[in-house]
Amino acid sequence: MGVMVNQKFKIKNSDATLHNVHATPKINTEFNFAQPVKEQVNEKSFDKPEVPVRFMCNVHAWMFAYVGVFDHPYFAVTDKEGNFKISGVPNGKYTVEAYHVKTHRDGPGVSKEITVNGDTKADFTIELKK
Amino acid sequence: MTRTTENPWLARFALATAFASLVLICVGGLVTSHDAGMAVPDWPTSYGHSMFALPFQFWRGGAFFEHTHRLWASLVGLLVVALTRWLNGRAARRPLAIIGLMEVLAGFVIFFLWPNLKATGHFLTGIGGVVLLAAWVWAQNEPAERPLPQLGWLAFALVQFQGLLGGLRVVLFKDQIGIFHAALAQLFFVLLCVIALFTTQWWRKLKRLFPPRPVPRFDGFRAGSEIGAPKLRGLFLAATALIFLQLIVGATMRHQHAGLAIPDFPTAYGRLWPATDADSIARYNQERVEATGVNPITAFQIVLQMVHRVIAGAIVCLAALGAWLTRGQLRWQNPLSKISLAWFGLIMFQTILGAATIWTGKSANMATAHVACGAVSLMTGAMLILLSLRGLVPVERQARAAGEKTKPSEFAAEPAVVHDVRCRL
Ligand SMILES: [Cu+2]
Repeated sequence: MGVMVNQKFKIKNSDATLHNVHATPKINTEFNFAQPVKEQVNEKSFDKPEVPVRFMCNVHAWMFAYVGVFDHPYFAVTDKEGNFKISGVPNGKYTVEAYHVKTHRDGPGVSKEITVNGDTKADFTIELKK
Repeated sequence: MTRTTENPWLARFALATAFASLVLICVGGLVTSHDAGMAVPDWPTSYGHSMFALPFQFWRGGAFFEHTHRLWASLVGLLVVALTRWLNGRAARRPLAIIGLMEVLAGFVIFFLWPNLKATGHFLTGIGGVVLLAAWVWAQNEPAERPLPQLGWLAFALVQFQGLLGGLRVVLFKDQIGIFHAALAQLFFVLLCVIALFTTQWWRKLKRLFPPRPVPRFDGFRAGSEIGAPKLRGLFLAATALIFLQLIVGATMRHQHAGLAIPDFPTAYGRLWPATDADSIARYNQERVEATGVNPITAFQIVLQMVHRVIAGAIVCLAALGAWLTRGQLRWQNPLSKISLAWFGLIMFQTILGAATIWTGKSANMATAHVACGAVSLMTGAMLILLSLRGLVPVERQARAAGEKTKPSEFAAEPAVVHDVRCRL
């Protein structure tokens, strides 16, 4: 999921069991709280750009999630086939960066210079280094 | 009942407390093995409930380990306060009352003045209450022999400090505190075992036997190839120090929350020594099969695990040498020889547990067994040091001491002396 700096986002527990929501950012402030109640919703935000911020649940060691925090609104998460769309981008020159957590870890993703003029298409290949 | 000399119940109670702290190390180890240290985000409350009244439905998954760790730690704290009270007798009442009162007051002050340290205030008030209770108990026994009362106070201070560290690790998000907490836990366990040893009849008898009767110098047995008592002591000391260093390295590895830095043993990424350049690390990270998406491994973590392996080899060698030399100098019947051999066996078992931790892909139970066995190894090393300090005396000094004040010995048995070492065990 992507959010903007200082944008509030909701964390909801849809299960009838307890989870703890533990964010482990390296730049932003770490937090950890419990959601013992079903349908409990908490609002949080991050005040610095950081990709990715890892979330985990320590009650269930297999639960984790990633959130990207940006200082601009032009981001998207791809679908299963890798398609994505970023709308509302004014015309001009941009650097598009594609990031996969498993391949790029802490480092930057792969990037490409593009010029946006109306609908513009940008293709990327992310290779899992073997 | 509460007397502190010749009281088998005091020794039993001290032993039970030491055992409880070993169990606490196991539970704490499970918390880290299951990466559950943060499963209960608040402290000293649990999900807003009093720690002792947490509804059962919340004891699930990682929270089960973390919460059990907190409860068991409270029990150990209670036992240690009682032990301190017992070891110090009526002399402890006033200091305990003062400390307890100060803790309660400090707790309240922190609670109201620094809202962000509320948890610490909570904790201090609670523990101060227990200390006040210990001061209030009407037992008027004499203090135990030195240094037991002092060791009791040390344990008293440590157990509270450990509780605070454990809590701060949770509320301050600091993995480093976890490493310190783990290392200190092992020293705390050793301290309780030392207290238990000092309260036994066996140890008191050893003490009473000093100085021993004169011992004839015995030169016939493998003369020239033996090492002296100080060297044997030095060997135990060096091996035990190395074990402590090893457990610090181990704790650092465990608190990286990065899974296995090297997934194979005895090889390391198929080689004798793994590559640590950036490209290789990137490749190693790619190859890691992981369901939980834990932190990526770094060169530091790989080197750390290699250091852990090298130190393990050194400890095995030292323990083997110790067992061999002890047997050579003191013969099999001597307790020091037996303990020394058991120590070597323990360390071999520990090595197998370490290897099995890798082979099982860091199974939580295996890793925790490895932690517990490490604690027992450290403790046995400390016991060997103490026993050899008490029991191994070079013959010349012994003879001198005995010449000054000769006392009939309670040991009619053959003196276990070879070359220039004699053991009075
Ligand atoms: Cu969960």
